[in-house]
Amino acid sequence: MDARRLTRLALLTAAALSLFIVELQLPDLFPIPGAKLGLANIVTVYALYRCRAGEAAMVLAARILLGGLLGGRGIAIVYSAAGGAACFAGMLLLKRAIPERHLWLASVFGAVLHNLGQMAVAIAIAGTAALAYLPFLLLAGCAAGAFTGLCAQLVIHKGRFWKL
Amino acid sequence: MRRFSARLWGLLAGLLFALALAACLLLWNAPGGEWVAVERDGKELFRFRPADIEGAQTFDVPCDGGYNTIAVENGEVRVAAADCPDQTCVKMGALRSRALPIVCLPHHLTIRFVDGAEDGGLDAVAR
Amino acid sequence: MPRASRLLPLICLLLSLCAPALAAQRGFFAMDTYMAVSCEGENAEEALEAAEARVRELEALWSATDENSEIYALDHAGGEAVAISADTEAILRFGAEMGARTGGCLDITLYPVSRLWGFTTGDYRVPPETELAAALALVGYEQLELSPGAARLPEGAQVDLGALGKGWAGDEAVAVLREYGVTSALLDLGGNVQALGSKADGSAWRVGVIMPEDQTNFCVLEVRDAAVVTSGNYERFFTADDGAVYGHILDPKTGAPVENGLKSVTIVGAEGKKCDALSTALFVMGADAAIEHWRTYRDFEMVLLTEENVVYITEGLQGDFSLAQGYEGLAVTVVSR
Repeated sequence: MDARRLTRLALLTAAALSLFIVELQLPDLFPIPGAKLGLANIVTVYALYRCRAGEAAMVLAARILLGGLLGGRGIAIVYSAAGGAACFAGMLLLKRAIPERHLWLASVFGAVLHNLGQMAVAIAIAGTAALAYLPFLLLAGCAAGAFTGLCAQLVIHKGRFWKL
Repeated sequence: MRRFSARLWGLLAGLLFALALAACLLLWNAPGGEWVAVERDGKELFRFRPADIEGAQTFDVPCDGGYNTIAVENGEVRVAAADCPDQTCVKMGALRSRALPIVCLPHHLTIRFVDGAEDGGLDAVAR
Repeated sequence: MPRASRLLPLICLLLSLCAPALAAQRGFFAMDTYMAVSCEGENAEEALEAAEARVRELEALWSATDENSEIYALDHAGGEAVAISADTEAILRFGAEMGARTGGCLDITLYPVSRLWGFTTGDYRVPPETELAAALALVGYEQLELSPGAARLPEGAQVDLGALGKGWAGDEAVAVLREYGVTSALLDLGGNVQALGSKADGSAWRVGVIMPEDQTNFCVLEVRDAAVVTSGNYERFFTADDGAVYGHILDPKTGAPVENGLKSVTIVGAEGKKCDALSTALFVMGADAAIEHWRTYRDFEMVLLTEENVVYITEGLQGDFSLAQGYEGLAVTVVSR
């Protein structure tokens, strides 16, 4: 991997991590367990559309691991890893069907897949009682996914400085 | 590869959103119940009838190094305080629907409406 | 179906006449658990209020963590004698008596050890040998010195009434209800069941006993004027880092959680305090010693449930014991004198 690519990935990871930390400081938007805006996913979605699959996966994995360590909650890593993996796998496929112009739509579906991944962990930990929160999680997920997707679109179209 | 149809995908997303919204409304408005059970890891700690409780009462449910304070007042059950990191159980407010338990994921605690006091025509269960 | 639906209100009415609802019920949080009392009688409401007040009064005296309690004062007196109320003196005396009766299998001075394991705070851990030995050296109900109106513990020794308090409070609550003329009441004090009289229709109270794994009841006991108290290590336990499971009932001799093949011990008797004390002590003893204890004293009945789901009942329970639905297949051995 050449230095340009490496620098770009490092920059993306740093940006994702910064967004993640910033969001930790914000009050929760949704009073639902596991629901949050997921600002760091702006970077994930961007990377998915603008980098190779493997590179995007590295950025995501690094962000989840480092974010989990900085966030200081062990169990949160499991949730975001399961959600992140489900979202990532799904979006790799969605990327083929949905063009960059409608990226925000792909992001909505990605968020929904993220929720399903989280829910699988929640059921494993807390039992099926947690399932009742899935619709609320999905609702928040749709909104958050559309928001982060739109942000990513803005970045792609306006942010020429991102292209090193 | 088929041609991308923004309308189709948009519709799909909209449908998903509408379905989730409908399910939320349904769950939110599901009826409550007479009995409330407090469970950890699926194991019942105790159950009680909010209607039997006079005045306002609070109760600390301890767990590995922490606690959740359950408050009961006017037949309403909520988590008044907890030392879990996310505080979601507190923010959820009062227990209102049978379909929506109050869940504290960090403490593995579930507070939910359950059927009847005991099963099999029993008056009580020694536990 | 229209005919049936028209009959429904009538059926409901008939059913409600057959099984009259209890006149009054009350629930409250006390002694680290939930307590529910239902009773029938002219002054039912006042009786319940007085019973709750009595339980709260005892809780305030005996809480091991409340800095204003008499037990807290005793535990933190640094070896000095402290003044105690008649209630506290009576329960301490009873605790020491039950300690002697059970050969130390119940020890009200085990608190330093249970604190070490974290069972008092929920901060669970497996204590190192040396710490355990040091804490165990402080244990011994014989060290408690009681004189009228005062009690003294050696420095470092601590009393905890966790194994007795609920049972004692139950007896006190029953006594209060009686004073108010209540003839039929059922108390569920955090899983300790105490019955005053029989049901309003004259039949016996049907009390289930919990099967720890699936939260169902494996047997039904029909009781009148009796307490039913169950102990087992399923109530509170933790899984350590090494994967081993540790229960909250500790053997006062070793300071380690009891592991003797018993899943639960259920005591049926006239007094809640004795049932409470014995359920813990006999669980610590193990099946054989528990049966011997019953043969020696004969002032209670019991149900033993082993890890293999074999059930032992004492002969006095024979007519009042039945296996619950779904557990008809369990092997039941009747223990006779």
